[in-house]
Amino acid sequence: MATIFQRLVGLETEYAIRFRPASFFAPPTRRYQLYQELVQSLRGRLPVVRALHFKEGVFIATGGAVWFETERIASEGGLIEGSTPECRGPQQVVTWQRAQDRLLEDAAAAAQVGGEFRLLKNCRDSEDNVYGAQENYEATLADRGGLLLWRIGLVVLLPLVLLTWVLLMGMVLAILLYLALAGIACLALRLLPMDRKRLTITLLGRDLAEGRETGSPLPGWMEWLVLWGARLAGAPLAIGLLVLTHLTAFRAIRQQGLAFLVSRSILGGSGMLDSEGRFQIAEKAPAINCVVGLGGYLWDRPIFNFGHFFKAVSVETVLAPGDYAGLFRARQRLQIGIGDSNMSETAEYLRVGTTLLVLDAIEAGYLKQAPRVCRPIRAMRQICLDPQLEERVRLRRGACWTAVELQRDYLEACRAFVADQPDAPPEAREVLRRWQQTLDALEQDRSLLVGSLDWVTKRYLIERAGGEAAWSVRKKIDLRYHELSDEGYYRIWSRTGTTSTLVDDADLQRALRTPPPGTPATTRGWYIREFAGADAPLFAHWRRLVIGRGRGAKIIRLTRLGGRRPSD
Amino acid sequence: MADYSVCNQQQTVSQPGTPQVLPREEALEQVRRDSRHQPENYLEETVVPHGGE
Repeated sequence: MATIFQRLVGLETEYAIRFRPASFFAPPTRRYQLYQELVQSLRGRLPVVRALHFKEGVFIATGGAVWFETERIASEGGLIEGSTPECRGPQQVVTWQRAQDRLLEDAAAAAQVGGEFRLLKNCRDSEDNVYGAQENYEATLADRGGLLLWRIGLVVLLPLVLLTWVLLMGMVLAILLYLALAGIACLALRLLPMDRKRLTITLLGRDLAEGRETGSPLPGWMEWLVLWGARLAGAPLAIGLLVLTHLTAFRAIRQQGLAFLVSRSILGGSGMLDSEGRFQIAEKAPAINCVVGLGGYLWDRPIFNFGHFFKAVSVETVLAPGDYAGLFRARQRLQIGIGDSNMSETAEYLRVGTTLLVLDAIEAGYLKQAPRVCRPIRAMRQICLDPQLEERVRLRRGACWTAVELQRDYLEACRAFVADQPDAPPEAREVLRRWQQTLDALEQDRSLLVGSLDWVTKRYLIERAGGEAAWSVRKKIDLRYHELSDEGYYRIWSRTGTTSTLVDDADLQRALRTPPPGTPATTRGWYIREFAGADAPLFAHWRRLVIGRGRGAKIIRLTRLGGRRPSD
Repeated sequence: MADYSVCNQQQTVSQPGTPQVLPREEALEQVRRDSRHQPENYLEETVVPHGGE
């Protein structure tokens, strides 16, 4: 018997930062500082503990996490990233995503930063920098033969993994040696009558030069070197892993679900005004350049992102070597990088709900005859450039279908799948109903979707409120649509009563304080609530919790059902 | 320009805490007015250097 909506699912959202200092003469505020104050503000709202992770972050009592996301902090990069707790089913995901948006919006507004601090839940800025959303679904990596090949590949890659660890550790030692020598040089320079501050920052970085945590532990020039050094050190492993994932990972889903994802932007796209003044129905999809990749490591921006496998083998297993064994399991995390962040709850519900149904149908064998698109990246760009939804993309069978026709094909396969499951949850039928209703409206009367689908709503606002105004005015409508504040344009439009709300206030209030039931987040959230602020510090991770430090530390492993298993 | 003339459905309540329904022409006017206020500054303030890396 197939199961529906039983897999774990979680969303990652990168929020752009908008900061306007209260005074023109105020010293510049660094993004890391904003992040620190945001976390401080969060601590006043609910229990928070530090993340046990290679990047800066905290876990919160709802079981989710907040991160400072950047590779080039000295060069003023950086976003606030929120990760929902692990959920089951689209309604849960939308509820906890909405709670996360609300928590971060309120924490930013209340942060003590000497200015106006706002977050934008979008995916592309006015200079075409791309960031935004990632979706994570628990899924079967491969059937028996593919799984065996995957496991053999992981064993074969072990020498490359060890080589990468050695090279990365060598880099760390070289950095420490350099900082020691640079420190001695700075001490010697004190004897000279000159302005040493700038030189000290150049040699040692802002943290050491200023004697406080600014988020810049290394000088800017070295950050660039380290970034490139780490890429080079990991390149052989990255290439090996990419070949292995190409050959084995989620092949059925990639083959049978690709046409669905290529056309899914018509449901979940947030729309954007591009630099040439054209309206496109999605923000991220036009920037996608490959089907499978490592999420930027090799300058790729993929639909199926396997970057988490690379992070797991190259960095995370250094901290916890036992995690390598976890990669041998059949059920793994499938990361989809094509989706936009949504302001509309309906769009978010459709994006996640239809994807969950398609994944369930693929794993149950109901989509073996799914349409296959020729040149999927090109097809996706064609679809995004056509808000009239008339563009046809070529299929391998020779036919040419519109995005709506592709979606209808998947809808019918999922309908047959759900009909065959006597224990199908009512929510599955609700997703089917909304899916059908939306596709009908897209074909017959798109105006019914203003307030429901982000791209339709944004296009309406740009056309009606922007009119023939300059590009910058219309682009501001595009961007401020996503601002999480009462002045954000989606929020303004929601006051007209034409936006559909799926999360009621009672559920939202619960999700602001507690984790979803029956997932690893349940246990994580419970421990965070009990141990945040306790004498023995608690450190949280997606797969484990650590109470205390050093040899006496107690490790609690989190299972997929949320049970806890003290290991030592 | 697409035809939105029949866009008049009132689906459900809006965000919690918003006491009354705003007429849509008024909402459009708010967006129209605000979007013309220093748009270049807004675009600059919301740039994400290096994107999501």
